[in-house]
Amino acid sequence: MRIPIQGPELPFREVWLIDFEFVAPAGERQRPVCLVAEELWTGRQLRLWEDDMAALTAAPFDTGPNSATVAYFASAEMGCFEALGWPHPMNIIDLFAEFRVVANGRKLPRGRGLLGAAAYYGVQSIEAEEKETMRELIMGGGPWTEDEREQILDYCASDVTLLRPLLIAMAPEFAATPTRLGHAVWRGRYMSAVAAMEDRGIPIDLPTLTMMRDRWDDIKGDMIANVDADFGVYDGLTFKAARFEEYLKQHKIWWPRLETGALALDDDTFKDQARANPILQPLRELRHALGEMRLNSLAVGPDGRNRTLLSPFRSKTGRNQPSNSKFVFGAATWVRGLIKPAEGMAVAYLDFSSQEHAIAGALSGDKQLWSAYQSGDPYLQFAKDAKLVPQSATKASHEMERDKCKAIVLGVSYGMSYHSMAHRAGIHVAEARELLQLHRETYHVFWSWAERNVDVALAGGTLTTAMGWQYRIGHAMEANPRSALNWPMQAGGAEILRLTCVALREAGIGLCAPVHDAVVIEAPLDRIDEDIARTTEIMQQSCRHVMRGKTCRVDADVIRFPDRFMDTKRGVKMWNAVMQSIGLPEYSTEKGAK
Amino acid sequence: MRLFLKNPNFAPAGKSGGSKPTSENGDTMTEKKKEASEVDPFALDNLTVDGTTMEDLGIERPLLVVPVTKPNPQDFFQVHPDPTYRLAARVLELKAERETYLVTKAVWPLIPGETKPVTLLVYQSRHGGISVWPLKQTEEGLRDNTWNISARKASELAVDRWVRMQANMHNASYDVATSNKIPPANWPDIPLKEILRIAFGDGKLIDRVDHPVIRQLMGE
Repeated sequence: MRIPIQGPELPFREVWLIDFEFVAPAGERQRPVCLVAEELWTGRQLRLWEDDMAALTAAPFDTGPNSATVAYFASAEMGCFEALGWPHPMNIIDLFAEFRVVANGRKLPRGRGLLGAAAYYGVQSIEAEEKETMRELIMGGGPWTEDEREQILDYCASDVTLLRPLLIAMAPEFAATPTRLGHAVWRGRYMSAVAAMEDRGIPIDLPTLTMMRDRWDDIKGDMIANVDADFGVYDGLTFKAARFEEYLKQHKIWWPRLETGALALDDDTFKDQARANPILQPLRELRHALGEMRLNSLAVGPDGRNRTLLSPFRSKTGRNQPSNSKFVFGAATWVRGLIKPAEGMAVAYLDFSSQEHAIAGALSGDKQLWSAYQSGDPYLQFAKDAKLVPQSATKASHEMERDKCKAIVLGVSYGMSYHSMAHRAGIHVAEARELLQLHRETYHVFWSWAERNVDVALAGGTLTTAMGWQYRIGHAMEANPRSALNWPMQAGGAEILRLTCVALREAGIGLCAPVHDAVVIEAPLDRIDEDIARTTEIMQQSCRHVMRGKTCRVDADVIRFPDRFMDTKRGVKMWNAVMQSIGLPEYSTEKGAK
Repeated sequence: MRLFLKNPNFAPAGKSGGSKPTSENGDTMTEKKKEASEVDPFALDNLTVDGTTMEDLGIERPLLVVPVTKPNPQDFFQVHPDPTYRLAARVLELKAERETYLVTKAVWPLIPGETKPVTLLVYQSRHGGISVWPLKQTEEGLRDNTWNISARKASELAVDRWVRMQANMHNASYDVATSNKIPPANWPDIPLKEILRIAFGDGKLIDRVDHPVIRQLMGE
C-alpha cells in the first residue's frame, strides 16, 4: 500500500512513525514501557511491550540512512532508545520542533503539544482528559494487568495514528525544499543529542545534597541570622516588608513601587537595586538563595545525577528552557557547588566568550563591531572606538569607563532600554542615552541591519537563522521591537549550541548539558584535556556555519575529581555559609575544593 | 504515487538499511555512519542559509518631513560636507508664524525688500534627523552683523565635526562647542533636489506672484 502525500514527498524508503510510553521518576533515567511503530507507506505496525524491547539491541525497524523516524517531541523517544541501548536513528523528523518553527510567534489556543498541533492543522484527535487518564495509569509505574497493558498499547497506538495525518499536513512545509528538509533532519539530530544529555545528566555530590536537604530549615535559620544582623528585616524565617521599608527610609534608598503603592519585591527589582546600592547585595543574595533553593525540587536520581527535561525549542529564540528548580544550572549560582565529578572523572564547562556580540558583528557585516569583538575586550574597544578613552587605555587604567561601556554593549545584546542600562550600570539616564547614541553612531552598519530586521518583523515578515529556525509575529500578538532587534543574536546563539551538541554527541564526547551559551562535558581524568580540545574545535566549527565563516572564542574551566564546580565570583560566599551551617569543609579559592 | 524530489542529493543512498533489527554487534551505528558519509544529503555545508531574513517586504524609510530651521541650541549637528548639497537662494520669513518660504528668482523683483539672501545647507542632528538651514548671507550694500558672521563660521566648522551652537546675548553672536570625537554622520542617499522638495513642499515654495503668502503681504 502506498499512501500519497500532497506536495513534495519525503525522500525516504521507509518512514516510521513512533511513540513510546515510559515512566520517568524525577532525576532518573527513563524506563520504557511500550513502543508502537507504524510504517508510513505500508501501514505495517509493530507493538512491543517492555520485555520485548529489552530483548533487542537495536530498534525493530530500519534506522539507517534511507529511512526516517518521525515522532512528536522526539527527545522523549530517543531517551527510551538511550535507556534500551539502541543506536539512534540517523534521520529523525520531530513534528514538535517543526510545529514550533511554523508557529513560533503565533497564538496557539490549544498549546504546543501533540493535541495542540493536531488542532492547528485540523486533525481529529482524542480528548485531553482521556490522554491525562492514560498518562496517570502509565506514570503509576505498574505492574499492569493484561487489560491495562492492552489499554496502554492502544493509547500509544492512538498517538502514532495521530502522527500520520499530522505528518501529511506538515510535510508540505518542512519538506518544501531539500534545504528545509535538511534543517528538519538537523533539528531531529538535536533532539537525539538532548536525549543523550538528559540520559547522562550532571554529576552531583549526593551525600552533601542529602545533608543539605535534611538540615535545610537549620541552614535557612543560620543564613538569615547571619545576613539579617545588618538589616533587621526578618521575623524568624519570614521577610517583613514593613521592616524593609523602614530600613530603606533610614538609609535614604529609593525603591520602586507597584501600582498598589507596595514595594516591588521581585528578584529582578532586588537585583537591579543591589547593583545601584551594593550595601543591599547580601540581602538580595539571601532572598534569591532562599527563593530559588527548593532543594527537594532539584531532580537528582539515586545514582547522583541531575536529570531533567531540557525543554528544547521552548523559547521563541529556540533556546532550551529547563525548569529552574529542577535543573542545577537554573537554581541560585551557589547551588552549582553541588556539581562534582565522580571518582576518576573530570567535568569541564566550556562557554563562548561574548557570543551575542560576535554574532552581531558577523551577521550584520559591521567590520568595526567585529574588530571590537576580536580585540578580546569589546567593552573597552567600544570606549576607544567612541573616543571616550585614549587608544592606549587598558582595563586597569579606565575601569570606570569600561564598566559603563560594558553595560551599554551588554544592554544592546540583550535588547534592553537605556533606562534599564542606566539602572544596571548605576549611571544617570542621560549618560546611558548618550552612550547608546555613541554606540549607534560608532556601529552604524550593525544598527542599520538590526533596524531592518525590526522593520521586517513588525511588518509580519519572518526572521530566520542559518539553519531555518524562524520567528514571525502572529496576528494580535504583542510586538516588542527590542525583542525583535535582539532575536537574531539570541536565536543565532541557540543555533550554534544545537549544532555543537549534535556534533559533540556524534563525536562520542560525554555531553552532560547545554547551559545558555555553554556546554558541560565529562570524561575520565586522563582524557579530559583531549576532549576539551576536541570540544573547543567543534564549538568553533559550529560558529562558522552560523556566523558566515567567523568564529567565537571559547573559554574552558575544568574541574577534576575531587574538586567541585564553583562560581568563585558569585557563588562561593553563600556556598561557604551553607557549608559552615552544616559543619562541612568550606570551599577554598586558593587550594581548590574539598 | 510517490513523487521523488528532483535534487539528486536526495536520492536514496545506495545501500539499504534493512528492516531487521541490527543486533549483531556494537558497530551498527559506525557502519551506518560510514554508509551515510558516502552520500550525505544532509551535510551541514549544503544547508546553512545566509541572512537573517529572506523576505523582501519592500520596506523603505522615506523622508517625510524636513524642517527648515537653524540648528537647535541643544543638539550637536553636522553640515553635509558635499558642496553640491548647498544652494544660494532667497527666502521669505513669516516671523509670527515661524515659517520660511523659498522664493524663485522670477518672483524676487516682484516683492522688493521681502526676501533675504541665504545659503540653504543640509544638516543632520545626532539623532539622525535631516534639516535645512537657511543660513543668512549679507545683502549687497548692507552691513553684516555678528549673529550672521558667527553662524556662518559655525556652519564651516560643522562640515568636518559636530557642533553645538548657542546664542550669546551679551556678545550678540553664537558660541559653539565642537567635538571631533563623535563618529561622523551617515548621510542618506537622497539628492538635494529631493530634500528641498520635501522641505518646501506643502506650499512653502513661492513661484508665482499670486501665491497666498504674497497676497497676504499685499493686504489682499
